[in-house]
Amino acid sequence: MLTALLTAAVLAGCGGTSDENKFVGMTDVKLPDARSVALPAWGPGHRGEVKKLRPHVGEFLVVYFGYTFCPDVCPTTLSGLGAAVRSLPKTDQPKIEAGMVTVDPARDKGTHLVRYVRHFFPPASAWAFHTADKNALEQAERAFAATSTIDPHKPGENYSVTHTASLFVVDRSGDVVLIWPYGTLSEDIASDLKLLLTRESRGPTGS
Amino acid sequence: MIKTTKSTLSLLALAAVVSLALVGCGESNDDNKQATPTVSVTDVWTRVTAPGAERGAAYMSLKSADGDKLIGAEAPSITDRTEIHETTIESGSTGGSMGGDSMDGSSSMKSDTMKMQKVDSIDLPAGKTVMLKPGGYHVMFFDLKEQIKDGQKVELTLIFEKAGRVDVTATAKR
Repeated sequence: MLTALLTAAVLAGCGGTSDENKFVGMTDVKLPDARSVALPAWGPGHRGEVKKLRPHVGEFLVVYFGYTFCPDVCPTTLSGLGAAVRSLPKTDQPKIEAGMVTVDPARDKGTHLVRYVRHFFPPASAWAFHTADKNALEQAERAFAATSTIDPHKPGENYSVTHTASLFVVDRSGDVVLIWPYGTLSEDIASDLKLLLTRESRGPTGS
Repeated sequence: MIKTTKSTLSLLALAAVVSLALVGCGESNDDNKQATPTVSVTDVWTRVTAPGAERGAAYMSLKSADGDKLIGAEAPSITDRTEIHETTIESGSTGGSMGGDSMDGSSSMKSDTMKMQKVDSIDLPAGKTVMLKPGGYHVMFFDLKEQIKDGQKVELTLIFEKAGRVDVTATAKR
């Protein structure tokens, strides 16, 4: 009985932040089309030039589909990711870049959007992707198995956008290697980032 | 006769004890006047907004002893328009081609599409704590007059169906 209790206590102690070698996010991701996605980008040295959705100088780009008029889910998610990146050793922080694809291109403009992303991440790591081309956005979303729907509204009226709220981790070759569903704890994102960077420094894992 | 009086007395005594017990449960019920019901509002905070962001949200815990409803909110120092909103996970599968490394070992990804809608009120069942928190209920600010900065105190008036207007202060954090 005592042993069982102790075991349970030890197990409970490991809950939440997982053990060292296991990702909290989803790793078995098959999104081959994500490699070819390219959108007008705002970020270091970019003011609307089309760029592939992959890290610029870092190891990973974390992609998020959202919009700046989103008061709850988007800031919550980006703020959690930002805190996770800041918890990494200083030398590792620049290896993680963050890019937001707007699902509300009518109200979010590229320059405005990148300012928004820089609220959560250092300017050198912050990216904004904006396309006014509906098909291009839909194609990008499909490649990430994401969706967005602008809620019905009268012209000129305020509206919200229903959208996929996951975070997608893209490696240097453009592959989505990890997904954090909405609500993944900042600490869990941090431990996954550490694990990703450890694996990366060991060289290609062939996964 | 005497017996009747006795039993009447004991009934009265019982009634007194019961009413005392009832009073003991309430906050400060006055026998003569109908006291205004109170709602306990704790952990009020609002998220720091990004430069240029036009919307914001505030979160808190609410508890009403007797049951009440949050029917509105105002924050005139930062916005002229405040509503109560709820974020929900939209039902249905995303139909994505992601495999399952999830805890339940399922082979399809659970839906992760978030929808936000205005609600007319938030029900506060008697004695139950109702949380307004990220990804759920929140007080939403439209057309922010200025950026909400870290540590800023935002004066917020909550409007309840029974308790009326309650002034609270939301502290801004990241």
